[in-house]
Amino acid sequence: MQRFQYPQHLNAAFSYLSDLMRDRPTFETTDFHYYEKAAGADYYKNVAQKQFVGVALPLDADENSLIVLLRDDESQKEAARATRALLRNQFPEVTLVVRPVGEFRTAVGSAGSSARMRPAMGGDSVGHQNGGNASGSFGCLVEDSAGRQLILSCNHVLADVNRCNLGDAIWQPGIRYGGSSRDQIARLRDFEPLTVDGATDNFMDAAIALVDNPADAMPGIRRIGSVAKRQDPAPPSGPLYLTGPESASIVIGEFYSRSASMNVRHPGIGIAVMEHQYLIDPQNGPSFGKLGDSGAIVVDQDNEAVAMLVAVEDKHGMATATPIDRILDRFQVAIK
Amino acid sequence: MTQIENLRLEAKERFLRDDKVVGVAESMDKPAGLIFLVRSESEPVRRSIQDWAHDRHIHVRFRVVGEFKASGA
Repeated sequence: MQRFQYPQHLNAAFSYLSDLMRDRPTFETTDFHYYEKAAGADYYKNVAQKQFVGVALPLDADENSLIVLLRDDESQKEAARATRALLRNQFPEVTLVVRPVGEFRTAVGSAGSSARMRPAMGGDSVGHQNGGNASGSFGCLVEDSAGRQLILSCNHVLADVNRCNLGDAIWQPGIRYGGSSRDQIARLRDFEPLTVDGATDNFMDAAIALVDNPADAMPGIRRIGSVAKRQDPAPPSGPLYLTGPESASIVIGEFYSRSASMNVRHPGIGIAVMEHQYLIDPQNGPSFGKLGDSGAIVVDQDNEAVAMLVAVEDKHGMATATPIDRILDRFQVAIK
Repeated sequence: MTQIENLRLEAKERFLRDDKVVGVAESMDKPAGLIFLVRSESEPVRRSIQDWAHDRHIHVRFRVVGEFKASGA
């Protein structure tokens, strides 16, 4: 996530190259010469796309350059030439730095999410001892007024849709990933009861669990880093980010609606009517979160917590999430 | 409570019990309106919603979606 002030033309060049390489051209041009050269541009694009791994802004915002990561094999030089030609066509003033690299792979397993992790953190797998559907994401670590550390997630993850007793064991990882009584990390502390009769309004699907040993959990979200509560009460207008045990990488989304009433199915139990929810469309993949990511925290581009994932739609990957303020207020806790 | 919010709540009470309607959302575009998330392009449901919206002078759109499932495993 960009935190530095780069010149406008460099940001534009970054977006241009990023979109072009991922085959999502979003720019528009009325430049006749561009269309005239379109055949050549298509060739360059095809050559460059095959080797493309990533594009990055330089650490120093004063550098008038972009860094392009290209797969390091025999076609890399040709791809570098093609990328330079593409960039020169639109942004002749920007210098291209080519960095040959290998393949980037998701760090699932070796870097947490579905594995047993101590300390565990947001984005890792957790679940109620009952197992079944009760497996999802450790949302984030929160703290009550007495300074106790608690895991925040969904009711249906930590409290098995009310079929629980306070003090029940919470496992990390959840049973979906082989968790067992040996993996207890916390005990259920509180939950907002969920009504699944298809008629009664629910304003959240949330619960908290008290961490047994404070050294076994840490603040922040895996792959995202430290998070803070969003200061601005209004929802953000930019992109949204999420990661969880099933997604195993950072997914990007955008608001579709900031206030919705939704029917959410809890398989084998019933329908919960969720009121005043966010709706989020996926931007960089088939879905904004997956089944098994429930409880994951949605953050904005400044790593500020915006919402908690509740449900995912099974056709287009749209997600329902609850504004985080409502949940923190309910349990009288703060993000640690 | 805004007028659009009132209308969303009214629409929820009226239409969300129908199996074919999954959700009612406030639009982020102009003009302000409601988006009905529906399971299919069912003509009777659409007509019923459009009649309701017409009486209230509100702009409505439809989006066909699947089912929202609690995203625990």
